[in-house]
Amino acid sequence: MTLIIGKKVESLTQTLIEHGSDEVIFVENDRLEEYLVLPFTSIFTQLIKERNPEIALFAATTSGRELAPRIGMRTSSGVTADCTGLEIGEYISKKEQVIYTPILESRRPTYGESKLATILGFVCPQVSTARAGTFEVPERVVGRKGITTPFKPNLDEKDFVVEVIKTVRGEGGLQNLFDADLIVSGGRGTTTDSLGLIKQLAEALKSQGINAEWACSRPVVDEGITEYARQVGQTGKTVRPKIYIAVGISGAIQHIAGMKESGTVIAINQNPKASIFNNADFGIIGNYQDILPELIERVKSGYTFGLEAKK
Amino acid sequence: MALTIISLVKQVPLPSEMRMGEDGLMDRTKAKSIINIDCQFGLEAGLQLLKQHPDARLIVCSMGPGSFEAALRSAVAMGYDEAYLLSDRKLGGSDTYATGLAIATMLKHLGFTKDSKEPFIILAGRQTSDGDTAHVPSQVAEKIGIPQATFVESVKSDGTNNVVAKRIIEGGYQLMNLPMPCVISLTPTGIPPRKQSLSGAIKARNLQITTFGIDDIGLGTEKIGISGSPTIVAKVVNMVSERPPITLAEGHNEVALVDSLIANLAKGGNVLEKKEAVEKKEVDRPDFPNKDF
Repeated sequence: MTLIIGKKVESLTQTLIEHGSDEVIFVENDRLEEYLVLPFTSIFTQLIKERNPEIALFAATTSGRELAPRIGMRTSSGVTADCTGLEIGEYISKKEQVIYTPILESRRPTYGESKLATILGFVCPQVSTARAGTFEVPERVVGRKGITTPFKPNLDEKDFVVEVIKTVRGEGGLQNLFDADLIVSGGRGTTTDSLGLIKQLAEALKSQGINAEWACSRPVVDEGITEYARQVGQTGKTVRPKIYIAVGISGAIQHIAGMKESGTVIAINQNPKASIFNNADFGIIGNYQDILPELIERVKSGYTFGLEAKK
Repeated sequence: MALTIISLVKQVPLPSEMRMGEDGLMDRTKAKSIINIDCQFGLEAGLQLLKQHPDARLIVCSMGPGSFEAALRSAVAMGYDEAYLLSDRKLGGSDTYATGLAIATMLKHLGFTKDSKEPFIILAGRQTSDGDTAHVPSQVAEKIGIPQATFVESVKSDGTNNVVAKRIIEGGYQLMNLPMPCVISLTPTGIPPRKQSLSGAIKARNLQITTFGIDDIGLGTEKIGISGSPTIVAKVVNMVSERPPITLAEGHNEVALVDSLIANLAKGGNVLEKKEAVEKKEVDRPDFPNKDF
């Protein structure tokens, strides 16, 4: 089941059902149009008390990553952060001579993304946050049927002491990086022209009707050339486009963490020893200022990396 | 009514020297250590607040082994006045829940409760480089029962009992007005942490750090340490690259290279040779009763 909170959210319940929810519980409240951690914590906790779910999952977004531990503290549950894998398994406790089953196995990268840890929680609900971009959105089945239940929580005025003065969102939060079929990403090696060629390649692909977007690695953001929202990697976004073109990116493990789920990876770098070449399917060793103009020309004359243009 | 500025810091191994013990838990004994970067930004945010509240009391707190005193002394060298360390073997192996609970209990023991007459603000780093969870600030706020703002880039006092925090959200930011007491966690994108001052370093060297054990703060063992934590690390495996070897373009100029790339793409790349699946040993599943919980 899914809980949705906000203003005018009832109309969204059917979409959630079509994406796989069997029951959508909605809290309709004008004061909750913007996410607020205190009332949201209270609502979730009230619902958890009423329904006793075994598992509670949140997105590992800036909201989910503060909401989940706050709720977990209230329900005495541990929380596993930023998971990239979730499975149901069992745990044999030799000490207690029992087998915990079924139990949620939450997997998350750790130690600078070099290891994968499996975390188990023994207090229900078992709470985990799921890293954005690593799980596929369940396919939509139009017309799928499910239950829609309104929920009227008890709201305490004290939970509204924090006031959101204003909210600024630029370029739709660049959610389109998650949906793009092709991402052209520039690294430290492409800062000479402030990612000009990177943007041109992405633009050329868009003109061909390809759902393309451009992104960057962390050094580019650190140098103030682009905004954080475009950063791919452990501390940025995790993306999984069909094609990921890494240009001038050395391939630090933190960057790989953010793009390794991509379909096909193409690397362009003038350093043959760059570790990005160990994490790519195809590559060109060369200077991007030579290669990209040529590639842009090919795209302009119709080359689309085998992707089908949207009509 | 002076404000108390409380900074929570964690000492972490230098990211390049992280090691893991046999048990899957962090081995902190060998690596060189620093104050976690995000926590350093939290410390600086506290020192910035001092400009608006010159008579504020600045305290820094941590939880961990005795070696964490180094981090507390560094914080004092930056400008903090008092330092508290919660250190107890029984806390070893605590997960984030148990850590949040223990730190909140220490703060309450020091008199910082939601009903405190004196205003206070708790500053922390967004997350740590060795844990990456970002949980503890939220858990501390919940356990004390006060509001919070996490992922905050800057925080300013309005001169009364409120602070305005700039919270970074996906693709933008929010400005929020919070009453004190509250918890704020800082991203490493705000005002860079200052260097230690000479007078601070001298003060730090002579500083008496107050160290508490769990008995001192009235914390029981039921909910802390490995056995009290609601979560455990069941196993840790190495991650391996799942990508087959690369197909590189060949050619002497960009036209040939791009031609070659396009041809390679059309042909398809290498396929990962599946390592023979290691025959799974049938683990003896003991005849324990199932526990549905």
